[in-house]
Amino acid sequence: MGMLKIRLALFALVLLCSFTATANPYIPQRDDLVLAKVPTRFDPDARALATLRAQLTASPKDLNAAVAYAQAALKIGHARSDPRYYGYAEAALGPWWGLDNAPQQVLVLRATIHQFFHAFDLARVDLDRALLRNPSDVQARLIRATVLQVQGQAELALADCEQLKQQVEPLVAITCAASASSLMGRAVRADALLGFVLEQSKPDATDARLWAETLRAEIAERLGHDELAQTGYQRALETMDALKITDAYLLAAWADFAIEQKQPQAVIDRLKNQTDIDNLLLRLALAEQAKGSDGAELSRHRNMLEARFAAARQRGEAVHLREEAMYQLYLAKHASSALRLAQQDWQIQREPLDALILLRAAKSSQQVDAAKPVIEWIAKTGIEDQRLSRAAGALK
Amino acid sequence: MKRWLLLFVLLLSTTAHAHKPSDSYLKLHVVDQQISGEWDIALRDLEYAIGIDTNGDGNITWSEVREHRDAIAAFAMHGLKIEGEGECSLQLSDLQIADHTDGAYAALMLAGRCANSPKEITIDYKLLFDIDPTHRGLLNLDFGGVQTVVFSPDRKQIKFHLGGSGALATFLQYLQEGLWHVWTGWDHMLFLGGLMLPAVLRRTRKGWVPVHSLKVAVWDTFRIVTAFTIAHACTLSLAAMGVISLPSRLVETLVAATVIFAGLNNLIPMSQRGLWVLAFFFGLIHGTAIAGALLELGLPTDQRVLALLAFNIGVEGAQLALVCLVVPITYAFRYSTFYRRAVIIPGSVVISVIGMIWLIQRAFEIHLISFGS
Repeated sequence: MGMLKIRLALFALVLLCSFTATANPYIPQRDDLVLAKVPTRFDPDARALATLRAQLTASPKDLNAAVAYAQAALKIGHARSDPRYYGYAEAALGPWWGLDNAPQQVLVLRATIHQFFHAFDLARVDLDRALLRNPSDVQARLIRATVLQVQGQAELALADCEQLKQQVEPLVAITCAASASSLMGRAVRADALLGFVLEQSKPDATDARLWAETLRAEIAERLGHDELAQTGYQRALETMDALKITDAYLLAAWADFAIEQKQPQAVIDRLKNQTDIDNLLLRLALAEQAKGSDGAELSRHRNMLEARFAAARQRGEAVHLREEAMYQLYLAKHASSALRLAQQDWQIQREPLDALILLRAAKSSQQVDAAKPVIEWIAKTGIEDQRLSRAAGALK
Repeated sequence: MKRWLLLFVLLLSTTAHAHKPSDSYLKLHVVDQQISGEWDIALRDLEYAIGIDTNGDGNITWSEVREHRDAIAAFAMHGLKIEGEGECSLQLSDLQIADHTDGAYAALMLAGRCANSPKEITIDYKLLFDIDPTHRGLLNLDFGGVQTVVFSPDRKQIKFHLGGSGALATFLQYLQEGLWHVWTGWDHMLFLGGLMLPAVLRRTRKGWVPVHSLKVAVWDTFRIVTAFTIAHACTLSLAAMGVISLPSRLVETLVAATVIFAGLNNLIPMSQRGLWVLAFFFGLIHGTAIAGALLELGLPTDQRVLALLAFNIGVEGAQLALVCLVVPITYAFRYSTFYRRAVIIPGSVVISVIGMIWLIQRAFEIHLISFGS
């Protein structure tokens, strides 16, 4: 083949691959082709929401109607991890949304929505105001404890949890406190307390029990007690199944543990039908990579993840920073991109997983200095976490 | 106390969104008085806004979508106004379906007309904002140049000028990135340097012999450099589009190997004829390696072709500038033994050694020197 021919062929190739993959519109072949699934007319949640929506439409300035609708929407949004419902709730609160000094319930709901979209500082402003106004607002205090912990301020979170002791059932108050103190160098004690309160509580599967069991498994994992972590996660998963819910947080934490324990097949089995949850899709792809077989599924899942990150970028959103950093480091193997994302993430979120990805990305891109803020954070908080210690040790 | 609210917050806070938030994709093309376009709106959003699941069975079928054609058109058109020195009309010309990452969308084919050929248009977008303030309208507007913007409740009205600086700005930005990539990319420089050092000489059985004319020297180098750029452009484009993806450690290691080869080839002849073929194959490897950097920069989705073209023109331009600078100088010294002994040989040794260090560093992930890697 002559040089000219080669060049022409290459130019054609470059041109061909330059056309972006956009969705091409089409006319479906069959009338009864199902294009989308939505809640049916018999879905109880959807029906309740529709009734509240009708009431709100009739009197859009009615605070009680707006709050009732927003709460119902958030409940569905939470159960399905669907941001649209958070948007519906925000719309219902429209008349009060822009007010600094909004009614108490609106402050708490607005904070809930802000934290969902990772606007933690905005959530803090609302919660501080709500608690100043009413220090015994349980919801506000519990949400603030969570937000503070996500921001890496376990001590302040613990103070909020302590305040809850007289107001909520022991299981909730102690889990809240144990969650914070386990990040401050008191993991063993936190675990003992959790064990005690779980024993004392009714054995029924409840949200609170699920939370406590998840935390217990996480603490065991951080302390390096692999067998305890294994049984702990199994117990939490059983509770989740009994509740007939999908808890993406628990599933992601368990999947990370199972992959490190070289059990990718278990992760694949449980997550293969959860591809609509970004977090879990990432874990599924990681498990497929760890297992090292079936490249077609892995590359399909990788493409799905890429497309979702790209869609979020187009919107100008930054809710996926941690997951995107994990994707870049573990799957795409672009250490420098992973580090950049992990550093951005660290500015917003400071949980053990955020620390871990930043340490590992710094190591892989040979930028020891980039890990400094995390190393300092580990020293300052006294957090006990085997994975973090190993990752930090590898940097020296 | 509402327990559900109490607890879901706790378990939720760090969970990323399961579903994509609500977006619509609006593509508009305005030429003179004519407007054409496509607007993709999620069927889920239409269901929540106007109710298109007629029988309430939870399945939205194609016939249900078609049945609601007028309602969909009315709802959508209420959310979009275009003004171009006077009102512009906009109608639904056809209704189809488009599949996006998160499911099926109604694809509204739009056609419209402005009273005059506007130099400036204003677009008002308020679709869904009243029921979901987290909704975003992602606009891709071709109005004498492609521009992309995002409509949000805080930014519902945007004015556009004919021609837009979009395309030109993109081109210049990526052209500069391309130039910069060569000037600051040690991988790239060393590899090309290795190939260019002996360009003014020909290797014969009796050893190095100077070439007869500057034209030959420049032409030889030009071929090498251009073959490299074309190959480079090809794999770079494929990688940037996500068609191919190789682990960066492997690619970086291969790049280091090409640098070693470029240096060694001047010391121990391995390939003399058709160096451009070699440059081509090595260009394929280098292209994959820098795709990561380019992706990090973020390719504009609507102007990928333009951006990639500009980047590659930048790369080629920088290389040719280097050729024009280096080759005449080395040409002047082509008869000097000093050039051969004190430049080509030590230069090639240095290149090979650096390549070797890189190779070890990258293949085994150990840190030896922090020079350009």
